[in-house]
Amino acid sequence: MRLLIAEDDLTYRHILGSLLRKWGHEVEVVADGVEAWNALRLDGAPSMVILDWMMPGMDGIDVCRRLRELKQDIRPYVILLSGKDQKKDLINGISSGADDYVTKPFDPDELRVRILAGERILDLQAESLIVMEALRKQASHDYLTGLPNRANIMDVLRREFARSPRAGEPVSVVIADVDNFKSINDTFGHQVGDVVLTEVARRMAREMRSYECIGRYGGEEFMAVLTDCNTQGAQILAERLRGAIADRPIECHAGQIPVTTSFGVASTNEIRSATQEILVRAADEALYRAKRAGRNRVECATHISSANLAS
Amino acid sequence: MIAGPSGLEGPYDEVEFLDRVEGDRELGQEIMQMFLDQCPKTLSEIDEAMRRGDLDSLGRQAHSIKGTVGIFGARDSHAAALGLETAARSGDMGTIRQAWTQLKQEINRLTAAIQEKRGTVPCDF
Repeated sequence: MRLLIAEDDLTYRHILGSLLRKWGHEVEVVADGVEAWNALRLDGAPSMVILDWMMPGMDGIDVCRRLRELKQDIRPYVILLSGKDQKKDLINGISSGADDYVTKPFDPDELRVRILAGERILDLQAESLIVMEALRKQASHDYLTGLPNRANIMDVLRREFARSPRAGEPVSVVIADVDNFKSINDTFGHQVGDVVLTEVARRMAREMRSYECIGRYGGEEFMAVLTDCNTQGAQILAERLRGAIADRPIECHAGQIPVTTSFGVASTNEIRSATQEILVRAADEALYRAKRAGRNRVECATHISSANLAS
Repeated sequence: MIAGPSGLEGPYDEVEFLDRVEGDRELGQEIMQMFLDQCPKTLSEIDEAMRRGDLDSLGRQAHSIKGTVGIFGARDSHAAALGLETAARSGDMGTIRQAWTQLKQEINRLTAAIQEKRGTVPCDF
């Protein structure tokens, strides 16, 4: 493991460095608290630090406190090393944020196993972070297509509604619905239906810019949230998405299946003082018009078309 | 020299010292040399702090030397350094001077013993 030694006393620095290397650790050494703090803030910093309490500049306790104040998932594991051997010192040290406390002169056997205990904690922490990340992804993404799920995309929309009016920027919503999806399912089976949805999602996601967001809104429905984008911009994007799907059939084991999609677009520059619910309803209404007008097309909500949506 | 629990047999405890370096004699030699190299500087810094009446610095130096002699299991030096550290905190100059004299004596005994060990048996102590 990579360890940082922060110790101003030359003799202790040498003993610590020698022993830790002998135990197979990769060691970095600094001689005061400020250097320690700087070294621990770097990307890829050592995950454990043996920190002397009494150091010039910033002492070990200060470093501990500052590390605790960091808002990050992983903090280095701190073993505070100190010549202060009273119970109150240990209490003070751990209260300040140290994970463990070893008194000077230290016993090498004791230090070695305390490092071992620290490694166990760090391993556990790393594992739980991986699991947490996986759960976070699972909870916010659609299992089939890998796109953000409905709750997630609605969150994005909510955030944009909170932000955009202040920034004076329009927000647009595009709702896409795969045409005749039920008959694809009925004709070719659900497996093919899944392939179609996955491919539609993939093609649309590829057309999006990094700051735009598209998610799976329902069964065969998708929703894109476009920031700083008016009706015209949203319409252009929707046309691009429509083309990406309709231009070439989707390949699957059942053969080549031609798939089209209809789109409804609504933007706050057109529907003024719209709430997010009204904007989504307006996009839904435009989508309905696209379906009625023969599918595989884009329709935009206008001030007139959405006049009675507020009720 | 035979190590004893109270260190009465000498100014430091060989067995304890070897434990502190995990039985690594080479590392032990290096640490002894470092201590001998560092000692005059530390003592003159304490002297300087005494002259300036800088009790903060005095306390820190005493604390630091206490930690270092602890590696050698040098109980008398350790006690004397603790004495100076405590005296510096109390601020009583009479006690401080007394503790400083005591510490100097103990450090001299300790360095002499370590010097002797290094000198007579350079590769094995």
